[in-house]
Amino acid sequence: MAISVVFEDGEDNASAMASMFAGLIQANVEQHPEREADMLQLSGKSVCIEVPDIEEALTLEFLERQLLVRNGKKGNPAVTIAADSDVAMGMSLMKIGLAGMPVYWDGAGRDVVRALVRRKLKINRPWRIDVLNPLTRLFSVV
Amino acid sequence: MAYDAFSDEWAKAYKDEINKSPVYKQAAATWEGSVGLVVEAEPENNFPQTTGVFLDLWHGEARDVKIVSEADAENAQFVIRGPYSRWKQVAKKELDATKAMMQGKLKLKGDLPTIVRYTKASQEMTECTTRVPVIYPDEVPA
Repeated sequence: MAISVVFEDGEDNASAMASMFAGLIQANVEQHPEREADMLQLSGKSVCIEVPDIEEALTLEFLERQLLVRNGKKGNPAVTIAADSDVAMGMSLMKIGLAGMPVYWDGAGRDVVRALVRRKLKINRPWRIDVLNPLTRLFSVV
Repeated sequence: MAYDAFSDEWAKAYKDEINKSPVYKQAAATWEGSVGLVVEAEPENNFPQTTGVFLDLWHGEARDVKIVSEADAENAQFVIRGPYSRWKQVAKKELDATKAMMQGKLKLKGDLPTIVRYTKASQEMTECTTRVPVIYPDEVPA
């Protein structure tokens, strides 16, 4: 199942980071069709990702089988994640384990936990696992 | 001994550095695929012609690294493109390659999940670049 990606300001005006993250989700869903369920679970919600070391931010709005990508922080995201670029990329290396839960005890998972503890990864609503778990699955390349 | 940047001798030295790296060997143990680096011309920096670097990488080994045309580099499975001055910044560790791609300072083409999966390998390849002594054309006295 293919999902469509729409850039609010047009593909030519999308930031490189926005193109990269959107492309990653799109490719992951194509390669793992079961992740369509995660797109549907996130439908109607948005997530903001801020990457301060490169001064970039984007908002991803999930609309069933469409991903709307907006430059910057827009609207009222369900969750805002702030992480430097290496941590943000590291989150994609998290494995997905039993019952679709992210694995926190292997190398990549421990890196994420360490980043959280050291406040190099900040999540404004960490209790929103209804958003964070499917988002992690959509980003995971493992 | 220092090598002219992006020369055949530099390519051989770079290949040797990659193959000497146990970190790369482990991080890229399952990597299969070619990588093309396109170094765009900057005549003002004494780099008059766009040059390609073709890396034949297989299971933790650089089977070949050679200087090629732009077109040949573009035929690789994964292509990273940027101007000469950006590549020089990366080689001198003044610019992180992952950040550069997220900022659009280096343009990336290829299957994104695969590239993200091997982030550690690509980071080590950048480290290997920094270990090759280089003579940059814009630093040669006139």
